Amino acid sequence: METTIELYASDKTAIALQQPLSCGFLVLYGPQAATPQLLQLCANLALNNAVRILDCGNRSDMHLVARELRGITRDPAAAMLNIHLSRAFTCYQTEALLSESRSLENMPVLILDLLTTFFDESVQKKEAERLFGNVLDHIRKISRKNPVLVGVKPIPELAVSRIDLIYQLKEAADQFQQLQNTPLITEDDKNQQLPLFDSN
Amino acid sequence: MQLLNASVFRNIRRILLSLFEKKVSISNCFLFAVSPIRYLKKTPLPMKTLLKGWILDIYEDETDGVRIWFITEDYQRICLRQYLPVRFYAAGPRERLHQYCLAMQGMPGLMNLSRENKRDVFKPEPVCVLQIEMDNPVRQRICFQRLKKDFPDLTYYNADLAVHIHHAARYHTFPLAFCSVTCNSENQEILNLEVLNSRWDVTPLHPVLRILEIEPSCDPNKKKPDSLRLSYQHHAQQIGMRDPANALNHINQLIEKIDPDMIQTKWGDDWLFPELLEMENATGIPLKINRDEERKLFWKKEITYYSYGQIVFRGREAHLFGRCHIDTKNAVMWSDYHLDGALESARVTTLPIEQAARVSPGSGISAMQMITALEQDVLVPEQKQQIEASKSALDLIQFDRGGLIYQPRTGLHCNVAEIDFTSMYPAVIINGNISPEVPLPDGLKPASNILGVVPLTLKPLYEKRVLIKEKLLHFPDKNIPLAKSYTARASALKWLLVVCFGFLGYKNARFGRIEAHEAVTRGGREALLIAKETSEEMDFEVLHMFVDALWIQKSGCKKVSDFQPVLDEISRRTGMIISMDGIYRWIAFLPSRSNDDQPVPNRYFGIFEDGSLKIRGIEARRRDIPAWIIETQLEMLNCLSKAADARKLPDYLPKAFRIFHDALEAINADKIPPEKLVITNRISRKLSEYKAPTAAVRAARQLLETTGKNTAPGQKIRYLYTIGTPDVFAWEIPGPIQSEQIDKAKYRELLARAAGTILYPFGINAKQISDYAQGGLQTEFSYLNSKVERIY
Repeated sequence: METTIELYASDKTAIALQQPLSCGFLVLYGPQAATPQLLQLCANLALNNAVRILDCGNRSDMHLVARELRGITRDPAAAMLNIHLSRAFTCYQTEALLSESRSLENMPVLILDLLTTFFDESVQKKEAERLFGNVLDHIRKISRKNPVLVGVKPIPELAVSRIDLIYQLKEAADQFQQLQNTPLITEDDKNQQLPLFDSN
Repeated sequence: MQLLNASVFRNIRRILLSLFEKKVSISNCFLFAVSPIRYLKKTPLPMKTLLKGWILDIYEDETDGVRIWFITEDYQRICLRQYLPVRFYAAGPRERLHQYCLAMQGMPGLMNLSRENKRDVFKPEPVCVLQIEMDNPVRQRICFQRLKKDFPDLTYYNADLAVHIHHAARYHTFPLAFCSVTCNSENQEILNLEVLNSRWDVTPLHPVLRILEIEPSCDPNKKKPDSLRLSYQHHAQQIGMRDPANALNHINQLIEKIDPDMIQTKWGDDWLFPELLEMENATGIPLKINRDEERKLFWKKEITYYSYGQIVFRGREAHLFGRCHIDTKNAVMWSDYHLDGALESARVTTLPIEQAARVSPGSGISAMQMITALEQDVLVPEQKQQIEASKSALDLIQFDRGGLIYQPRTGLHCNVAEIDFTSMYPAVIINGNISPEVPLPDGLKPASNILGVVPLTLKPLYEKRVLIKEKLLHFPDKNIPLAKSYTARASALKWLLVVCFGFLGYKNARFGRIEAHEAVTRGGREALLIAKETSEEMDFEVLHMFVDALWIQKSGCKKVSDFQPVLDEISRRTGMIISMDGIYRWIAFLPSRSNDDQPVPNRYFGIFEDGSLKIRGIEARRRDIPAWIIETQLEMLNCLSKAADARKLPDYLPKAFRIFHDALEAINADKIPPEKLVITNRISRKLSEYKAPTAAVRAARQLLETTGKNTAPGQKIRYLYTIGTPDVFAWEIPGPIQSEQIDKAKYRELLARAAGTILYPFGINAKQISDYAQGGLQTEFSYLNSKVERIY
């Protein structure tokens, strides 16, 4: 599948993601796994709709969402009740969480910091890749009936051997957006991965 | 397996095919088919020997099953072997389990396959699993690892447990357990083993261990040691390292003569044993370090991992067979509780002594939970896969909180009692029955009466610590050896209890669950709020609250008995023990260094009624502060602690200031040895990853460039501040440092900060102290006196 890669300024991303969102699989690549942008979007979505957050990197700062909501609604609590979230702390839990979400319909799904648990060096690379394959399958299935936005961050140097996961994610996504000024995966690894984030 | 002919295999296949179609156990017939020799061969009755002794070491063996080293009642050291079949389980779709059964056919050591219903803590109903029984823990591990590659999609239970966990669950064994053993005197096989004591005994008897201590002549990170100091009981001798053959022969002779149970080293893991092995290679003289002569030294690889948000490096470990090796420089908690604490930790967790001394308490809690699960016939998942139930954003804000903190009222306060809940979070877990598999409480009252795996594990641990602490109260002198031993053991238990709460939320904890973790903090907040309300109802003023402790004050209350009623009432209302930590003659709560109006929780110093000092959050508690500054700050505090009450403080303040002044003069006059100026920091990333390197990173890079020695993430680097470029000096670079190289202005500034912390409550601000340190302000002692007098 051809992947569109667009560059966005960090503070403009939420605006660029026009509502209503259509079904599909969009990846946002940026610092902090683009979490501030996704949570800002989450606040906007929650004003009128139920939103599902699958937090795979312990990034659901709901105080940030509450602050955002205070600026746009008189009843932030009601909007907060529209947000349903679950957290996963291991790649096994991530896989199980997405597997359980396959039946979701007509609900924006925000997956925060998807890759972090797959960088866990206590899980063998082959096992992480196997589970990630399942995860991509789950996301594809979910994205047929829901808009799915996935946040990922630059790969840490310690996990550079698992760079293939980002390639697979890019390959599977309908759109892959890189926030402006996001560093490449690791400084040492520039030469190996130029094709991935080359916007041309 | 080679004895099985084709018809037997066909039979097995037929049984396997029907296995997951019918709910019948085929265990007996399969047992017969796979392992005919063991069950058909008639063996003559063995010659039996009965003995009693303590378990020193236990490890798996491919031939014997397990080997267990005992110290017998008559102080012999003997090795016996024991047949130990182990079971593990696989769950998944029926077809896959069927394929798994077929794949098991050629596996050496397979004894039995059967279908069972077992309890998975994360599932409400029993799960149908394939039970695989293997004749030996080594073969079980190999079989599991091999088949997991082909069946990664199955869920495994009890599959990766260490042999001591299997053994402990079956025989209730633990390191230094006192056992009655019947064995075959011809082949040393254990026929019957019974443990005669319990790991929960408060005053266990164990044998006197023979401990050989080996220590290099200097820190090998600094320079190459030229000799080793070997000591046993009250004898010590020095062995030169220049002649490797002589050194090895000497060590071998000494080990043969003493036959130590434990070899306690400094830098044994990362320097001594590698050095000795190099000598062995160079000379061809074998190093006879193991009691089990069939075994070589076992190396456990170094690891870097995250622990409580901090990156930690644990060096490689040299493990022995038949005796223990403890490298005190590579033992996480050694400085806190020494050998007594390490043995206590090994006893209650069942971890081998070598391991218990080295690993963090979390590993101990994990082992204990697994044993509890096995004893309760609950499955131990290889990988936890249960997920957090969906909750709203509002619920997350409400539940996902930590301990309750009330900011302190900054400044000096007199006659303040510090009261705290005894092991608050473990008590909340036990009282509230908080465990992943049981309904969670909304507060302090349990939602279920049947204790879960986690409280079942913690209850005896908690009770044992309370009993040891009670025993300690009967020792007026805490410095006698028995009291020290109790203190060390209580400390070991405390650390296990401390981590049990965090472990509920730890990603890799087998019995962790985030909702249970949240329930514990919820219970803790509830208990602290009850304590606050109770105190205020009884007219006490609450000055500060921090997670499990309160600082309270009431006019006229100065003695323990004055506070007893409020303690009793809090205990009654919460159902948890709250005790008096002490009454302060005076205590100073400090503000933020950058903003005087901002109180900082848990940053204070104070003097108890008995004159002892308690400090939190100030320089003297920090590990990255040079020893010289810590010593000066403590000296100033000890000087102030001599004031019988707060009104006498003005008499001592000038003396405290004089200590600061003298320290400044000492550094200016180059009288401080460089080792006391060394700063220690931890490196948290690879050196190449830093874009704006800190002083520590600059020192680590300097060390790498000069000596080729890399500092890995999690490792510490020691350095000094120096004048010019580079502005640091890595302490491990060989060669001395000249006093004129030291950046004295930097050290004066660091000292001024530490002194400023102590003098702040007396109205002297940091700027004044800093100016004084750099020679810009001539502060008179009389000025200080006037400051203090104004306070009272």
